[in-house]
Amino acid sequence: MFDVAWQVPPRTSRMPAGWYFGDASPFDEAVASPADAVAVERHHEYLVRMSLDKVVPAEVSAKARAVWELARKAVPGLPVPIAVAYDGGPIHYTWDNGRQVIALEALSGNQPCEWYVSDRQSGQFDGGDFDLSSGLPEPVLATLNEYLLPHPTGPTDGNR
Amino acid sequence: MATGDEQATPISPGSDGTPVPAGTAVIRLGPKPPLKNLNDPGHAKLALGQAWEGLFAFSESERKLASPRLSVWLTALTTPAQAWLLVGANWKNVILVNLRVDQVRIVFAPGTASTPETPRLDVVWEQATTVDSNDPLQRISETRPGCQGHCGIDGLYRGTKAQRGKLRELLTDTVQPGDLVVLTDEQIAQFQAAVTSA
Repeated sequence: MFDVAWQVPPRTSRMPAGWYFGDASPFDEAVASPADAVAVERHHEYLVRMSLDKVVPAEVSAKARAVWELARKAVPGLPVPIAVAYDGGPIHYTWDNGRQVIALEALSGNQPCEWYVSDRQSGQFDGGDFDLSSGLPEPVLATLNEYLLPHPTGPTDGNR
Repeated sequence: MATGDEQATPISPGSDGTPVPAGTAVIRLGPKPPLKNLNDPGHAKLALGQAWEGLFAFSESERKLASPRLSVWLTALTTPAQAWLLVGANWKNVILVNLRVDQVRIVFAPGTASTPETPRLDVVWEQATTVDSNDPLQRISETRPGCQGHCGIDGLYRGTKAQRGKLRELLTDTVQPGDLVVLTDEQIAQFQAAVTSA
C-alpha cells in the first residue's frame, strides 16, 4: 500500500541523496506483469544513471522518478514513457499512442514540472506547470486514464 | 516550362536570421541528445526510425537564450559527413533526422480564447560557431568545410507552454518514415574517411 514515506515532498524541500533510489517502491503493486516489472526496474536504473553520470542534477532525476511514480499509480499498467535527459536538465517524458500525446518534464532547482497533453483526433491540447506536491494536473490524469483504452487511430499497448 | 536541363541556382548563405530558400532540406544531426541519455523505450522508438516530440525539446540552458533555435544543416551546402565533423565527430550517439523546410514552415500552434496562434516555424540562416581553442569559454566563427550550411529552426519556443508542446508535436509529425536514422559504425567510418580525404 501507499506509504507516507513515499509521498512526494513539496518542491521546496530538499530531497536526500538517493531518496528515490532505495528499495522496492510502494507503487510496485501497479506493475501488471513480470515483463513490466523488468521495464520499470530498467527505467529506475536509467534515472539513477542519469544522476550518477551527472547528465542531470540528482534532484532532476529524483523529480523524474516521482513524476513517473505518480503516473503509474494513476494508471496501473501504464508503459514506461520514452525518456530523454538533456544536459543539466530537464528529463523529458513522452507517451504517444498515435492519438494522445502526454509529455511531462522534470526541471532543476525549484522550477515546477511542466506538462503537455494533446489529442490528435479532436485537436485539443493544453499544458502548463505543476508542483509535485499537488500531484499530476487533472488534464494529465484524464488523458493518462484514456491512454490505454482501445481506439481506432493507433495501438493501445504502449508508445506508438 | 521546365526541361530538366536547368542548372540549379547556387545557394549562398544569407545573413543571420533570414530565411533559407524554399524547397530545400535540412538535417538535424546529434550528438544532442546523445543516445546514452535515452531510456529503453527511447532506443526502441529510434530502432523503428520514429521520432517523438521530446527529441525536439530544448535543454534548460538553451531555454535561457532570447530565441533558442534548433540547430540544423542545409543539405545543399553541408554533407552529412561534414555536419558530423562540425558537431564534434562523435563516433557513436549520432541520430540523423531529415526535415523538409517547406513542411517545417507549415507548422504553427493554434490559439486559444486568451492567446493568439503562434507564428509559423521558420528555418533561418545562423552563423556556425565553434569553441575557441585558445579560450574554451569563448566561441568563434566556424570556418571548416560545410559550415556555410548551418541554420536553425526558429520559433519552437514561442507562445504558451501548451503551444510549445504543440509546436514540438507538429514538428515531429513532419518526420516521415525513413527520415530518422541512427548512424551505424560503418556509416560513421565512411564519414571519417570522407572528411579525412577532403
